[in-house]
Amino acid sequence: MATPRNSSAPGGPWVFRTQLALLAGFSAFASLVILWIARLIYVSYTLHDVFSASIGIALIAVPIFVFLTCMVHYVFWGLRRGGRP
Amino acid sequence: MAETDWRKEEDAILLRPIFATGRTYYLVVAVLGALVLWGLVSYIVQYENGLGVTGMNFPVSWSFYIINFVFFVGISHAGTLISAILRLSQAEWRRPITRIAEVITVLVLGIGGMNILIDLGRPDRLMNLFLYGRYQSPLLWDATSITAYFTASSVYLYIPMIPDIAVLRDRSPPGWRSFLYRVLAMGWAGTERQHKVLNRAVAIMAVLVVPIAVSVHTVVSFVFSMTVQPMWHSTIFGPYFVVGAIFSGIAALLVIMAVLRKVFHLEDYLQPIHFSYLGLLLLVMVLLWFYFTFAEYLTTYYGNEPNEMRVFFAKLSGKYAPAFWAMVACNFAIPLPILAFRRTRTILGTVIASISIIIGMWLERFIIIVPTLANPRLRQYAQGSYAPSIVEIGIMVGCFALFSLLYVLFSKLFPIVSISEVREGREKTVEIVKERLDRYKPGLGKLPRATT
Repeated sequence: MATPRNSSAPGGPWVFRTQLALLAGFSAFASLVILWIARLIYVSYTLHDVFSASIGIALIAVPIFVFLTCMVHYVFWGLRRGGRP
Repeated sequence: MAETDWRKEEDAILLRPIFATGRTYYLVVAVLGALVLWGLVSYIVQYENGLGVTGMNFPVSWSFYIINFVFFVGISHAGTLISAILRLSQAEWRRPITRIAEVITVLVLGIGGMNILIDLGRPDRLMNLFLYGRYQSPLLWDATSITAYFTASSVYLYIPMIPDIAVLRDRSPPGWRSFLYRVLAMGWAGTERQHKVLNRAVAIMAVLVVPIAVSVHTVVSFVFSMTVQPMWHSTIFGPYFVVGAIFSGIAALLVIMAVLRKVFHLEDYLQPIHFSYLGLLLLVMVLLWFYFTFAEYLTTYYGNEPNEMRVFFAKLSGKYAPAFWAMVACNFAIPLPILAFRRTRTILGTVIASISIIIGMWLERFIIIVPTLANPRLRQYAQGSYAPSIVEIGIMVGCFALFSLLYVLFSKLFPIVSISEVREGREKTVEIVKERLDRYKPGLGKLPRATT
């Protein structure tokens, strides 16, 4: 691929701030989902209602969201570091 | 001038929809916008007057909205199958198709989820899901798995787009779009380290989305199979729904590919061989779908359980027979002869088969949901019937138009064919395939040959 023009131009502080805001937004979204799952576990515990199944589902769902958050951070910081000369 | 630079690109035709806007674009957006507006007005009528304005009643409390939910979620398997599985199996012909498929996945998941909200009647009831949800219910399993799939698919769509967004960043005139591209390009400069990061991330995501996608449609099937409704409580539903999803996903992908090929003049990128290969995959799915359907209905018939037989005969020879046999025709009788022979497995042939399958798979969801609910297990409840109201039809049309509109808007902002993947294929495919052939052939290539 031909070297793109202006590829090293960071685009100013507002670009970086917006990127950080998007990253924070994604992390917040994943955290909210994990909190929601935690709430469902709590509700099942207080109602004595399929607590084990809730834990089982959480053991699958929560790592997925944690992983996706880590992946997004890995790509963001990895590309940022990798773009430096 | 930045606006003319894009024309000098090797793959300028892929950038043309983004930088050049014709009258057709505005016309298409206007028409789709009008249909979306019809859907929105229909929803407002429903919101103001309640679900009584729909054809839903007792006992048929699930109908068009749930059918559309299952249908749209099913189509989402297009992205996963084509993009992730073909990427993992290193099928080089996937390159121009992956993004088309990945965009379908993200959009239909959003619209599918929206149908649940519409079906609630009162959208504020969504808060109950967050505050008082119970994992005893398959509906909560569904909500969790679809949220996970939507998130994973969005990440999986975005990461491979980064190099293409960088191309747009470098060619856009100043303005809001240039800012958007600079933000989303994540400082992409095409360095070796950046390529390593990206390739690693894409490879890992491709592995992750496949089991999530399989789980999503399995869990959607559990919403039905975990009940004891006649002809729902079946162990085959999990794999049956997954097969149906992949089936409808490939069909939708083929139709969209044909449209994009025509509209954006992508004949060099979306070649007849792509349609032929996908047509072969579709042929396999036709046979798989028939096998699962046959197994399900034969098992029901042989079991001869009275409640199930009422539903069975309602589908095969009763009120729902036209829909049932139309489903069989659309999913099996029409596509099979078209896809089975190379002479008919052309672009036109595969598109006709795909349109037939899309209609057939929508009918399949109708046939699964409505006849069962219309023939309740408890005999003291009378048989029900269902006919969609103009409100439901309006909302359904609005959903399909919204999908199309969002797709058009996406193709206006981002290249619908992955430029970086196509270029990588152009540079490296011959080497990659040659290296692979060297590994397959016994006694040739890198291994020393026998002299006697």
